[in-house]
Amino acid sequence: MRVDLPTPLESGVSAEIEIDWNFRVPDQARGNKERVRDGWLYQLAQWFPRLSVYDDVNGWQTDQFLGRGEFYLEFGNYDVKITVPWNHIVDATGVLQNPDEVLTETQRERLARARTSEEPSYIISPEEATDPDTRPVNTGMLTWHYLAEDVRDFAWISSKTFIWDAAGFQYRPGERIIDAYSFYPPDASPMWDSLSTRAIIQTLKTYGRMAFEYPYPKATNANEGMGGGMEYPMMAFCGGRPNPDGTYTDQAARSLISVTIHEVGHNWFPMIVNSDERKWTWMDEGLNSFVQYYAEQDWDSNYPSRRGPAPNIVEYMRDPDQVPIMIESDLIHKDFGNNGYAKPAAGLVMLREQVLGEELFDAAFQEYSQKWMFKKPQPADFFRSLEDGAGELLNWFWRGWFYTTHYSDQALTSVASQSAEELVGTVDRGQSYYRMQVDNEGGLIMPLHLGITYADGTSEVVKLPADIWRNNEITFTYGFFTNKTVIQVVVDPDEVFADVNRDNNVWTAPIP
Amino acid sequence: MSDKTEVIVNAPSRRRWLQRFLIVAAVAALVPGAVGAQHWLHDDGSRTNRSIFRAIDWPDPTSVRNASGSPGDGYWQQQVDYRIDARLDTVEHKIYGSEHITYTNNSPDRLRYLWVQLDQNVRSIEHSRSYQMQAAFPTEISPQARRFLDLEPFDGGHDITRVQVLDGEVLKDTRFLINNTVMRVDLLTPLESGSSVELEIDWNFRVPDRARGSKERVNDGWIYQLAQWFPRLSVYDDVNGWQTDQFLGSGEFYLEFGNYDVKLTVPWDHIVDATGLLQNPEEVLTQTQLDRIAEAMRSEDPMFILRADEVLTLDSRPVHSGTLTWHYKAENIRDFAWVSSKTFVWDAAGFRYRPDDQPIKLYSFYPREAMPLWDSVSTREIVQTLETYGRMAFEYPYPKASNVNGGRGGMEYPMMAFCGGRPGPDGSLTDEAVNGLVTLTIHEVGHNWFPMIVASDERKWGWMDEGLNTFLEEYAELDWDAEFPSTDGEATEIVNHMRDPDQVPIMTAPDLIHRGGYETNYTKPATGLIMLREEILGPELFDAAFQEYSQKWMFKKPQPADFYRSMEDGAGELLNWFWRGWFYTTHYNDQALVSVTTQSAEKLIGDTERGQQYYRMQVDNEGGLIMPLYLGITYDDGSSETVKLPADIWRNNEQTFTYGFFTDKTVVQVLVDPDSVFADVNRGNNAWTAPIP
Repeated sequence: MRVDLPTPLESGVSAEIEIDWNFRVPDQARGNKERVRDGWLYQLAQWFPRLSVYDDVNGWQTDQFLGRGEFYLEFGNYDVKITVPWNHIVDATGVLQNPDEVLTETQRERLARARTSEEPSYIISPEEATDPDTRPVNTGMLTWHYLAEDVRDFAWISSKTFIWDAAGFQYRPGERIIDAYSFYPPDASPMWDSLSTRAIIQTLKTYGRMAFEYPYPKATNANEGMGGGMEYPMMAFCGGRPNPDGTYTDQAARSLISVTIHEVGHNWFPMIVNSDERKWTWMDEGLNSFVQYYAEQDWDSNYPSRRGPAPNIVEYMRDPDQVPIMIESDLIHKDFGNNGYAKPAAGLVMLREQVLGEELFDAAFQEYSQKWMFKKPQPADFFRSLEDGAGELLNWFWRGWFYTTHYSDQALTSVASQSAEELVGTVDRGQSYYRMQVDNEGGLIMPLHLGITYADGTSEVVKLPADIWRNNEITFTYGFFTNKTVIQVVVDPDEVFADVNRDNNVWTAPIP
Repeated sequence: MSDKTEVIVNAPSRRRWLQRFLIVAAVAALVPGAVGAQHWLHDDGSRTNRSIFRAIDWPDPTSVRNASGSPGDGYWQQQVDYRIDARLDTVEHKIYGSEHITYTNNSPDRLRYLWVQLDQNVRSIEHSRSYQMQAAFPTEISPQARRFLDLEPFDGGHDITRVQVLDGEVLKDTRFLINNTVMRVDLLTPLESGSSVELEIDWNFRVPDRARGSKERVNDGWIYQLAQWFPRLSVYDDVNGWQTDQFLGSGEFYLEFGNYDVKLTVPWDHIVDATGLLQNPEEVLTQTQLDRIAEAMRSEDPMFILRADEVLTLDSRPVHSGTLTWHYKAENIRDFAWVSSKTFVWDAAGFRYRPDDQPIKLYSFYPREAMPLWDSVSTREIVQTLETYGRMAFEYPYPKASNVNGGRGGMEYPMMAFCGGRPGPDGSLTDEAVNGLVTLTIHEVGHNWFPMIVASDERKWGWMDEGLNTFLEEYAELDWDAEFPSTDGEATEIVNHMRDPDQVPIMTAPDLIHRGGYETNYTKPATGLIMLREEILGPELFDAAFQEYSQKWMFKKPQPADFYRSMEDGAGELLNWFWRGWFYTTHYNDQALVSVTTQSAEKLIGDTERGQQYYRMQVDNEGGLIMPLYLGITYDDGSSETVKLPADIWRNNEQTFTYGFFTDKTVVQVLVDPDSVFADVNRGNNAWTAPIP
């Protein structure tokens, strides 16, 4: 919607406008209503007319909302009053301003106690849900008043069905306490009680270490009926419930942990590092999935993370019908999750662990995250920041992994040895000179790792940088002197480069 | 302001030729089928503008680099000043250094860390990526070649022993991260625009055996040439942010300007020279040497400061034990190199652009086995370089220019060139050896202009210094001797390379040039610029533009588009077709004369006022380059002429052009590119001879 101004708005000047509106809360999708056992659960999102972004790259960014390419929003301060039936419990982006009016004395006392520990405790227990005693009044409406500063969006929830648990998190003793809240209907208990708030705290820890410490005063997770999840500032909506008999599998538990980390993690990308989701899904989903991987590994070092490890992206890399990561969100015709989430995450893990090393990568990634806090980065700002912070020109990596759909297929085409005496007239450096020829049968450049096993049972992994392909992108022969006999060679022995065809990665010495 | 105005008319003859062309084209257009659908050489089916003449997608002009290719209103660059103390250990062959750096942030940006170049790490087994990039040896290595194999890679590298940042009055440790040949130093607090920070670094390294900046054992002892020897700040600029491209060995350097105050401590019997001016000659030289230097400055003819028979004598040194500290200062330089050896013969001369000028000190240092070659050639070629480059670019602004013998090939630093080349072991001297040293000295001293003063990014663009320098080197050689056997200037010199289908464009980073690096960075740009000067723009316009480029980028950092834009801007000519073809692609020139026909003028236009005959000469572009078209025409009366048509003849049809003209004479021979100035790769299709009647 275009709103014409009575007079042009000059640079440095403000205009004030007012809009009244109403809408029917949808049945499905992000920000909807759901009928659970005890009543309706309302999740309100994209619910008020929000200003489009005017920036240096787009002018007005008015790309249509088609459902998948998400949001691009301006920062601002919010003062919001939400009026709901007396029996509803509300939570929203920001800090509640009138707890005395909308919460009971018991709830306020429990809240004060809950914030003193990272272990969650109930504010409204499963037994208390829907009990009129949990409400300060028992008729009419109540108005919940919230203030939020420096947020790019505002979401809220309202339901009479909620169980509510809470904990408090501090980065260091004596510092500010961040409130961690979970809201869910009895249908989601007992799974949510034990996992949701704890996963919020894990997120605050890992993302705090890898990007920046959470700057907002609160982080909420609210259960929704649809699968998956959705993110808003200080407010995540996550699916996942136990079976009707209250049992749940490890897989269901991990699914809730992962989705909670992911949706709460979105506070960093894109709620604070405010990229243009309408155009670039990977800038929030990809970066967030990348950090999510490390939060999962922090939670449990054997956590079977779905996104991050290179082997998990191989099948997608084989698909000839994929599109590059650098594509607008609403032009990704299939495999949205692999394109926007998994491939960038796997690529960044590769960049961190194999190409740059953790120390340089982390220094650059933190720098990017921190300098773009509460600002709006574009793709090149990310690419440039990583190069600038790590001191490495990465054209080959960005071009291959982000701008194309090329895959890696390194093929070990021959292993040969020659007498060193015959070749160089000396055996000072070893009796034999080995040559290992590797062809690039895919279209990607990647570093080359050679796992070499010798007849004496020893082995080593030779790690060569991507620069070996500078002068010839098609084939490279590695050579070295040794006194030992090579019995096996494996290209990419630790499966860290998403090689799509491992059949041509191995050489075994013929039986003599 | 100047009261002298130079008026240069842009190619007066061109309009005439174009008029003639337009008439022909207009007539041709009347003939059905005369214009084919396919008229671009590189139409790729994309149904977009593929004209070779179309604009090149250069970076948008900014206030830092404007559309004229000049530094703009908002031009900025960082300032980095160094105070260095270094000691040469001749037992371990190591340098121990300590530096105090003042880094001034003139950028509009806030910096949270600095990047520092650790170039010695290119020879560190732990850090060297160029070691890791080595492909396997071939299966056969000749006994001669075996001697040059790096079977045991030299394990050197910068050993960083202290990095501290000044916080108020106190030096504090800070985090530093090493990524092979670069090191990030985190600042304690962000460095705001317009502010300075001071830091200190201690380091040491083993002086390498080979390559630029190394040690060499000669008859009388070791020669140490120290280069890339101290941790140097990386460049932070408007184009790259931090330019941290790894040093892999081919792509050279990109550095900030600054002032240097350097103290070099070496054994008492060494002679030192370095970038900059010696501050304590009384402490490190004898009175005789001081007197000789003063005398040498009076003449462009070199004289000895330290004669061959004085090398290794006690009398040639002011003290006879311990060490001496040589103190140098240099202003507005982008790098600092030095040499130290007890083996040096030293000759000197003084050069003045005008009689009343202060003399520029010209020094040559070489071991005795470099004589008789060096004493007769080196300093004289420094003079030649100052003269020719002074005329074609700008007068040498530094107070000194040295040339030092050692190693193979040559290498350049501000005020300091390292050049190989010696007579035979028996003292015999060939013309080839003399000419080799002439060329090399001009080239390495010439690098003071490009890139030491016009400080381009060598890591990314080899041609911006090597190409421009080789271009000027050609003219310096011809100034020295009009018959000099130059090898990198004439168009014919590049023809073989142009035929190579496996070459890469000039516009390729040096570390991505897989072969033909010399041709790509040196010969091809040099021959192209000579073509541009001699054939396309003419010397007057070209020189006006080239001087303008050189002078406006003195002590600044141009990018490729700044050069292209400056040349167009200064010469008043749009050269998209030339840059695109010669610099951005590997296309070659092959103009083919496909037919020469004649027709009665009476029959064609109904009169013979302009001649009895109308001749048509069709030339097809069988290569991929656009070039001007020269037709050498010989008539049966023995007269001949060369018709010179501009590249614009290919604007409307890049594939074929037919030149037509009236004459009363009979053409007996036509030759395309008769003077071989356009590097035509196939001269087999350039000639037409009239059949014997």
